[in-house]
Amino acid sequence: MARGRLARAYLLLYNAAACALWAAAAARLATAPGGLGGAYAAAAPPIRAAQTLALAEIVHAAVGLGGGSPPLVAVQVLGRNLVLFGVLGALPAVAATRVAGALLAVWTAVEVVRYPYYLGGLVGVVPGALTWARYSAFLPLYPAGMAAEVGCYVAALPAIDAGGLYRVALPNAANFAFDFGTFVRAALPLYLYFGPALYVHMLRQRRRKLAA
Amino acid sequence: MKIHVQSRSGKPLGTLTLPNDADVPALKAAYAKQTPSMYVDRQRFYLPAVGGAKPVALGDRATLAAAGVADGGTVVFKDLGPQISWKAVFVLEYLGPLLIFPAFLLGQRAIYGRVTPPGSVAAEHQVALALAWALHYAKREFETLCVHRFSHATMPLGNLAKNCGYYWGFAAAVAYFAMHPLYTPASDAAYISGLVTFYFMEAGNMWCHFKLRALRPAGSTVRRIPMGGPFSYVSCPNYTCEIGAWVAFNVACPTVWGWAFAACGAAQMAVWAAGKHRNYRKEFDGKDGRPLYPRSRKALIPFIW
Ligand SMILES: NC(=O)c1ccc[n+]([C@@H]2O[C@H](COP(=O)([O-])OP(=O)(O)OC[C@H]3O[C@@H](n4cnc5c(N)ncnc54)[C@H](OP(=O)(O)O)[C@@H]3O)[C@@H](O)[C@H]2O)c1
Repeated sequence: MARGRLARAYLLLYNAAACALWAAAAARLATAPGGLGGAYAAAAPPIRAAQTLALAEIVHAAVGLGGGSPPLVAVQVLGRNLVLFGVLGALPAVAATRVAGALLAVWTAVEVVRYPYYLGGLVGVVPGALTWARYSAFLPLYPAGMAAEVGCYVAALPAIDAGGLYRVALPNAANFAFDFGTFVRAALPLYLYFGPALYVHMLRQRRRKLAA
Repeated sequence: MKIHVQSRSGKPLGTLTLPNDADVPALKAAYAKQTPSMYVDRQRFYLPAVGGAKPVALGDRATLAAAGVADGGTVVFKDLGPQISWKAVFVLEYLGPLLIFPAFLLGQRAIYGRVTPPGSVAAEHQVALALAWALHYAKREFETLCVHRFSHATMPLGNLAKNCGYYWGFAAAVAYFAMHPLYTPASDAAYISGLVTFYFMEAGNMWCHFKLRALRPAGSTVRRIPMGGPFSYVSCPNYTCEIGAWVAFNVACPTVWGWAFAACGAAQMAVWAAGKHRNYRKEFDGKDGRPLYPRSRKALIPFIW
């Protein structure tokens, strides 16, 4: 792909920042007091920063700066941010569960390989082991991440219902109502469909990349 | 002349013998005769792609020679899939919204377990709004069956589910809140000005559709330059009126889902208007005896775009 020097410099900076943030998250996770239950309290700041930064990836995909189809990237980034900010950020008791800690650990494990791989691609040095790790780590991590994400929602449902999180009730001038608990219950089955579909897509990519 | 037909993957699909001045419809008819399951409306032909270029589709108006297919040449066949009549799709997709609004109003007790307090402003508005919505779709059914002279007889069967999902889904989402016993009505001023503008725009939209009908002799697919009234300002005043009608409806009946529906419809019609406007200017270029499309005319928004 032909890229301007400015675009390349920007991507270098962007990926370096993402690498640094996820490395910081990994370091904090490794030393988190209280194990998985304390993971959110320890590692949330760099992860929240990294996931805010990741919003730029939707723009990257839309303007052709990075690979990936714009809707797919948007679903992935926004899906993560909904759990991270919308659920864990709003419900401290859920953030302190082990399943929330497992989710952050899986994300971090994925990203400490993915961003160095991108960065390596930009400077033209990608060790074979890095490519292998990039296209193999997901084999266990992707299903684990999916399960942890669903687990977080399930753990959060009682609190969402009881507290009326994000609930909009009639009557109001916009004639609109919303119930987050119902939304979550309707959306969870989609994981069963899109999860395996995405996994198959990534398996195909793995075969292509590792054959080359 | 002899024409070789091949599939998109290059598989030979037979050789057709045609008169030398044969056009694309004649090619389709001959292919349908050779392969009866591929009726004419299911077919599309392309010139073979050269290099990585996008294959060029053969339009129905051209003769094969003019399109660049010589004796002994090759065309590429694409199966468009099972087809359904254009009219049937429209009748079915509009039937949903036509019935859904009155159903939510009349079925309030069954759906919400209670009714809007009788005699309230909300109850009064809901009757008029359900009527306006239903009349809009009754008008569309009437136009589909009695006014429009479509140039395409059919569309792919898959469009049926997509179109019905869109119209029925939005109708249900808007109706659920607009016909809710807890509905919050608009102010008097918004309600009255909205409804009046809505009917005015509906009338304008219908006027445009009769005008378009008059451009095309029955049974033909002739395309001419529409003139007069709002057509002096924009290429697609029927879309302008349709968008205006939905904006007005939402002023009289404020719901989040209603505005979302209006926004989706407007975005879709803007894309179509841009395409139609471009085609008009390309087709009526003022050369070789063709009329010249009025240069000052805009696509959708008078004087602006
Ligand atoms: N989401 C929404 O709410 C939404 C979206 C789209 C449309 N609509 C409504 O549905 C109506 C019909 O839509 P449409 O897209 O079919 O409208 P359209 O393309 O403007 O055409 C209406 C009819 O007139 C014919 N026609 C158009 N230009 C002509 C010309 N220059 N000469 C001769 N005949 C011509 C068309 O034939 P062809 O078959 O050759 O095009 C068609 O039969 C719209 O006006 C609008 O009210 C609503």
